[in-house]
Amino acid sequence: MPKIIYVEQNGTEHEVQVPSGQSLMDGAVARMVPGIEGDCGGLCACATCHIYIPEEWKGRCGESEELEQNILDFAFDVKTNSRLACQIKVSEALEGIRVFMPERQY
Amino acid sequence: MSFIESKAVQLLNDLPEALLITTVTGEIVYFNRSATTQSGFTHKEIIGDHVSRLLPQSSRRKVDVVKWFGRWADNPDPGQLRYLTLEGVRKSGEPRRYQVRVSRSEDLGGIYFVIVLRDVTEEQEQTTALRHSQLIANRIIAIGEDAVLSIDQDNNICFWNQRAEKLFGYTEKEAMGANINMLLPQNIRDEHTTSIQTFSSGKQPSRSMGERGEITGQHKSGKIMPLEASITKTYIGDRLVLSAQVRDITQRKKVEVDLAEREARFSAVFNHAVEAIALLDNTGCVLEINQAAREMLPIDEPVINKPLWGLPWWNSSNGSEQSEFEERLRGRFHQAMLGNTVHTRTSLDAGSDALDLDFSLTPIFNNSNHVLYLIAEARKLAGS
Repeated sequence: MPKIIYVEQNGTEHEVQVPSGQSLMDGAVARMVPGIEGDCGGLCACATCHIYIPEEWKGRCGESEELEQNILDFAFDVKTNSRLACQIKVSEALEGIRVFMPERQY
Repeated sequence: MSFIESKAVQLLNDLPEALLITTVTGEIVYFNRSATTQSGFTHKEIIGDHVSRLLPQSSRRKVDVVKWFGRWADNPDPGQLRYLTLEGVRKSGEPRRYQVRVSRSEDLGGIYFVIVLRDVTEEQEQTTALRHSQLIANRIIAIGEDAVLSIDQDNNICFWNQRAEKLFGYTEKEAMGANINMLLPQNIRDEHTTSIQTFSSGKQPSRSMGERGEITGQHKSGKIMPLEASITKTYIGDRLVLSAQVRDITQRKKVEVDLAEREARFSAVFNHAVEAIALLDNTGCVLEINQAAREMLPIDEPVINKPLWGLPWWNSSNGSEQSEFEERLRGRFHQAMLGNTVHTRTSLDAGSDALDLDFSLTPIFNNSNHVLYLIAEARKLAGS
């Protein structure tokens, strides 16, 4: 089970084992990681699972689709490395990834 | 023209929802009465103005309101319309959040967006506050020392925390939906089912660990464990959910057994010593007394918590001799309380047997060098 490290805005780190096939959002919500809400349950319809992916991991997270890019309009402090955690599937390729959370989701 | 058609403009204005109409570039051309009430802007102030006056561009979000009106008008995705809200502002400057419904109208001599704005500020704040308090409660449960699990009315597990995983060895995926019997040794399953039924149908809402006494659980590996559990019932609508907080008491039981064994060993030494021994607190009262000391007392009566000098040492009717003896004992106690070991010989008139004793009082100090206890010892001298 790949290990994912979710880093809160204040630097608090949450190390979570997320089963392959689940999304980064599912993994965070199931282990009650603060800072990722996932209001719509993974429908790519709410922008409350916004995270930042470090440049070196971007290639392993897959490309974002147009819908995700559009929905990110509603996220707070969007940057070039912003993604919605519900759209990234966990696999062994993401073992040890550190993802960073924005200041807020609403 | 029907009654409705003739009154359409008036009805639109009287609509209980805040309604506005804009051009495709965002210029407000219509604003109904509910919209003025909701926003605080009058018709005069808002008509002809850009919609961004009502729904300003955020400095920290990219959302282009007019572009999204177009998207939602063409593809009113219910998920997005439910979860994506727009930041708005009242005339007073107060920030608000609006849920939006948009349609495109091309029958008004041009193309327009017909927009309904529902103010969900308070609703969203309450939902957020509730989610956050749930998150705090869930995180407390997750890190708690006790396993927490819930079962539904079919006795199937419907909540399982990390400690439960550790205690019973089943992952959340393995446990969820499984029958509670999986966590119990075969021989107590029927009894446990009956006990659950009794509790479910009873009037008591909860039972704490102490009330239930020890129970037995079974680890995935087959290992049997002594457990304690608190249980509570909650009706969610007409569905009953029983939740338990479960604690492994293997270690505690081992400590209890070890302690009892040590206690038994000390008691053996203490009670079977030839010397008379008593443990006193720093007021001189007896905390413990051994068998040899009890046998020195001519009268068998309770002595615990009585001062050493108040015990029935003296069997003689000579009151002055007795009070002189008590005074000497008290004096030695005060000497010992100063931190000195007191060693003396004394005689005890125990009725027919006069006893010559070798008597000592030894102070025991705490970490702050204050006298905490005194050990009183007496040994019969040879020939007495």
